[in-house]
Amino acid sequence: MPVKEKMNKQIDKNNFEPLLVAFCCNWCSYAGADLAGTSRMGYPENIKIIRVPCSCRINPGFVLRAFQKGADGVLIAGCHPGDCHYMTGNYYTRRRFTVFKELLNYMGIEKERFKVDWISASEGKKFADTATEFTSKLKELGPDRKLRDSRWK
Amino acid sequence: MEIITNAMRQLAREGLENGLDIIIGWEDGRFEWQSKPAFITEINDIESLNFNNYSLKNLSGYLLKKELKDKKIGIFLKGCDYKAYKQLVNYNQVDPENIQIWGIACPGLKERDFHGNTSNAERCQRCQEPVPEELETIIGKKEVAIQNSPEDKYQDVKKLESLATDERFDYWKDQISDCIRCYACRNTCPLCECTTCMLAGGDSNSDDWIDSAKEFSQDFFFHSIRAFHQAGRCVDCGECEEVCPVDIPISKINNKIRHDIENLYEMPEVADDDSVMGPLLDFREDDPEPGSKGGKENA
Repeated sequence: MPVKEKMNKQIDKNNFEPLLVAFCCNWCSYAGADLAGTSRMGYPENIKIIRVPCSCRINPGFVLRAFQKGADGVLIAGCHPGDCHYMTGNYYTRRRFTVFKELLNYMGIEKERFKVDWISASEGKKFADTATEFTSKLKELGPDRKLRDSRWK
Repeated sequence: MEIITNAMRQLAREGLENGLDIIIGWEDGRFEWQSKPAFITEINDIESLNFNNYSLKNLSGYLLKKELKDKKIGIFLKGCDYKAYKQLVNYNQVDPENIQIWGIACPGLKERDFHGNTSNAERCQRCQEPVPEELETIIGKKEVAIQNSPEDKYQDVKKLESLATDERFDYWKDQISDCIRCYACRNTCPLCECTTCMLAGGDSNSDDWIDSAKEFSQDFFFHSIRAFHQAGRCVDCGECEEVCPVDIPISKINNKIRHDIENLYEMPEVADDDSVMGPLLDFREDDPEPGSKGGKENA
């Protein structure tokens, strides 16, 4: 059965809460998420944040593993290029995930499902906006059935 | 082909007489449309060396074998093999001092499918550098016709890119679901130099990234990450696709990455500068952002 048909069959769009996994760098984006919280900016609770020492720590395997274990979208958030706590980490992230994002798209994964963004510690608003925007995008797209491990419940 | 074979035998003989321990070349396979690697240590065996229309096998990967460590090796390399060799030197995987290389001006080789049809090998159709020009000794005629222009090199990738996202997924699902996870593509790759693979292949109890279940997401994981580990290094020698028992078009994944990297970044010259090993181990401050349409093609 073509994927699209299969997906439409399983989707109940009105009743769907996406799961969004965000890998946030300890120094900027995680602090940015913190700021969004302490400033009482609301953002959807669909987002699950995983803290990493630097966005450069993220292995493309993490992204695929997240999709396998039920994520509908993956966000990688790091310091703005040039602001990395470890000087150059996020430059490598940028190259790696530019190539990897293209590869995923080439192999048939919607490019909206995987996003790399730069959020600094002072951008609580940007974090909340990104999370809101991404969640509503995922609600439009529906659940990811392409990469999910069939053994996952 | 005969000229190349005779020169090979001549050079191998001189090499063995002058103190090389082993010569790596090709010999005839069981059938006339086959060729297999040959490892010659005795002068008496030299006559078995033969370069035929099907001598596709990239020999540079054998330099990583631990049995050959600290031996003096003589090896024959075609254009694509030599590119793989340069990457191995770049990543400090082989010691050039122990290796005597003889280049072969590759006239373009053939492959035979299961139905018995012979055609020009796909990798040779994409090849742009059949002659390892940097080498001192090159066997064969140096003027080799290139089969496809650089623009046509990526025509398969571009054709696939022009499809819709779901069509692409259906294509890859169809292809990748065939994978039996024999890991032959990984094992044969001359540039897969890790002794323990992070993906799989430790003992069955090890904490590998993929498990043994026949599951599409695991197959997808294997193929995308395997290709990504070669990003910026793959020389498009086509070995992985050649050995695949279920004919997964692996080169189309590798070439997509190559195409993007060539388009987005400047490829650093291999083995020239110790500080830069590859495009993904390097950066510029004005690199394009992930997902943006950057690069030379869209400039």
